[in-house]
Amino acid sequence: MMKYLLFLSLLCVLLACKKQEVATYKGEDGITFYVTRYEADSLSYSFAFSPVEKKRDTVFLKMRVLGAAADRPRTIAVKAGTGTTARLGIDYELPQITLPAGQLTVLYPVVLLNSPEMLTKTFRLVVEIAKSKDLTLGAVGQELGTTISLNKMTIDVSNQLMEPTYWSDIEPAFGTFSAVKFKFMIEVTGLSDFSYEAIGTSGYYNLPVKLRNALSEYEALHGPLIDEFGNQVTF
Amino acid sequence: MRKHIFIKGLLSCLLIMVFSCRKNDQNFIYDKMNEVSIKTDSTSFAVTQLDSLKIKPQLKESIPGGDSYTYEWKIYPQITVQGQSPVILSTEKELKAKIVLPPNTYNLQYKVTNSKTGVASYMLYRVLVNGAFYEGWMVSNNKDGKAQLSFVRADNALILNPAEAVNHTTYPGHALAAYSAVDYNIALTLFFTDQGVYRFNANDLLQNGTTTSLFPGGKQFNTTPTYALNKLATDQYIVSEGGLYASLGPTFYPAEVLTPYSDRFTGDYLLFPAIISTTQNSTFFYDNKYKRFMQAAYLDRTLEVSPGSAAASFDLSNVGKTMIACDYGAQSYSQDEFYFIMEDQGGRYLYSINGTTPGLKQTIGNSPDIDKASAFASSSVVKHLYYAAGNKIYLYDILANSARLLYTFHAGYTIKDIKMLRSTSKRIVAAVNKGLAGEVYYFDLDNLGNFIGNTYVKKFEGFGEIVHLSYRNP
Repeated sequence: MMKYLLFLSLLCVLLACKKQEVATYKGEDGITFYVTRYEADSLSYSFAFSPVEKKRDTVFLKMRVLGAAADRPRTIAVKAGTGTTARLGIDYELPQITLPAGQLTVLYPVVLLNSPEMLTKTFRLVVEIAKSKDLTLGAVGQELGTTISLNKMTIDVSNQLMEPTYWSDIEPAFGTFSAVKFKFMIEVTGLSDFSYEAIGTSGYYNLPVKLRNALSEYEALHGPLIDEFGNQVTF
Repeated sequence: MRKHIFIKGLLSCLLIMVFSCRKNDQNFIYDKMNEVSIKTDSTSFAVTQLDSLKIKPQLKESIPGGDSYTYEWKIYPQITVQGQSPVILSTEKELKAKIVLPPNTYNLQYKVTNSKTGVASYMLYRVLVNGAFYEGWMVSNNKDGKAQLSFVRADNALILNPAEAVNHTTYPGHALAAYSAVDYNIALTLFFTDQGVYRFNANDLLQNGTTTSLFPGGKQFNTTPTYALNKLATDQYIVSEGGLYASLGPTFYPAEVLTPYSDRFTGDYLLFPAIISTTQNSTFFYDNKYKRFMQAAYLDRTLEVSPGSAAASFDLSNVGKTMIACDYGAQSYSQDEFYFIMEDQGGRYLYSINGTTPGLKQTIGNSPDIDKASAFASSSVVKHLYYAAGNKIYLYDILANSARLLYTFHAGYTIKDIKMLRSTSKRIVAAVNKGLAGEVYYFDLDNLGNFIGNTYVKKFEGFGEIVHLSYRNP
């Protein structure tokens, strides 16, 4: 009897083993835009920020592949998405580019064109991932604590002095935004990007001194500098 | 049959288990081991960077028996410094090693290991590694047509013109002054000449900046400037040619202490070269153009007229006199007192501020040569102010409002500068020129403020014409 019980037990133990299928992902490689956790999913661009007049300029958007690197270049396509008011060939161009072999990230060049209407109007361009023969839309969402994958990015483009998206970061040092103030800042410093990343801590504290001195000289010659809201410009 | 085998096997196992148990008699034999005790005269040492550290420990064996030993002297920072690993200084019984570590406080572990038993004895020492210029007087002087920065170290070592030797360069033009800013996360010395400013690491005088790096837009220096941290160490200030310039200090932005200075603070003013850091929130300055105090809050880059009060001993916003000197009075963690020598056509006056409160306002009376005095130094312990006129040093008793002569140098000598050793307020240091040759004298003070023995206790020679004295704090 004991013998049979022993054999039965051994048999049960052996039969209990079963190969487990490991779930793996299979599908087309995708691509997305991505930003760091502190970067916005939209940006504004103004030709008026440039100290020299530009007919066209390029804004680069970060893209990355969801999938493995390939040993051949892969085509990337984007399109103007819902909400776009900018006009293809007049206000922007979206070139088709390739992701070089072996790479997982690339900077996509959005070409912005300085159209006459931009002097009075702001155009919106919603850049969306389009399916190409090599890459489809990748999964979107936030990585744990790091970057965020996006299927679209929004660019507001004009030739007016618009309030940059970073202005709230520097407002304690430079004061309330106005187009007149911003133009003055560009003329005095030769800079067009006053974001904290661009000017650094030293610039954050030191540039207002330079601007105050320049404004003081300006006021001695011309009187107070008044902005588009009727307020006196100060730093 | 198999059943029998199984039962017998089981019984055999049981028997093995039963007989494997055995009573332990706990009968151990204890032998005394040879242990080494380590003794030295001191457990803490101070050494200057690049000097040798020598320690002769006395080793005593508990059972002398001719055992052999291995030795190890391992040194590492007392507070971990990223990227700095422990260093084995020596594997000899006695330590004799050149210290090339950066200035800091270190733990030095001495390990003596018995080669036979492997038993080790340890001793932990504290080692303070000072930079070669860890503390002392910076003497700005001019010699052979060049600006020189010399150093009289706290241990009385005289190091003539080290900045030139360390940096393999010369400093053209005329020296104006040198100042240091030493605090947590900053150790800088600025050497000003009429050809520009040079920035050094205060510990080793290695040059790490010039006018171009401090003032990318360019800057001229013609008159004696001043440089200091504010009391909160958030800002570095330079007052030069009447203008105020600021860079970031180490308190909030330690990585930014080498970044450029601002442009001249906006405004219509002409500052006396003094940084009056009486409080942590704001720093005072004095505008000799409109004869009033001004102030800048920490990390602010605007200079405002100080608010006045009719109830105060004087109106900060309307003093009406010209400042000609400024020095520390009593010091504390939260606020400091400053004395000011003011003048107008009616004579010379002593003013003071304690924190933000106006204090003294008195005409300096009964004080010979006060109208000719060109250098001043005050005590932080007692109400005494020393002043130099020509070749004489006087002590002005603030409470008695009168001065007495303390010392007269020989004819032909001219006192250029006097300073108080701030850490004790028990030593006056005088920089004296005879023609184009400069000398530095130490005068120690008794409890009444007089020079002990009515003469100097130390004299240092070999300088060119001295223009400025300043202390490099540890």
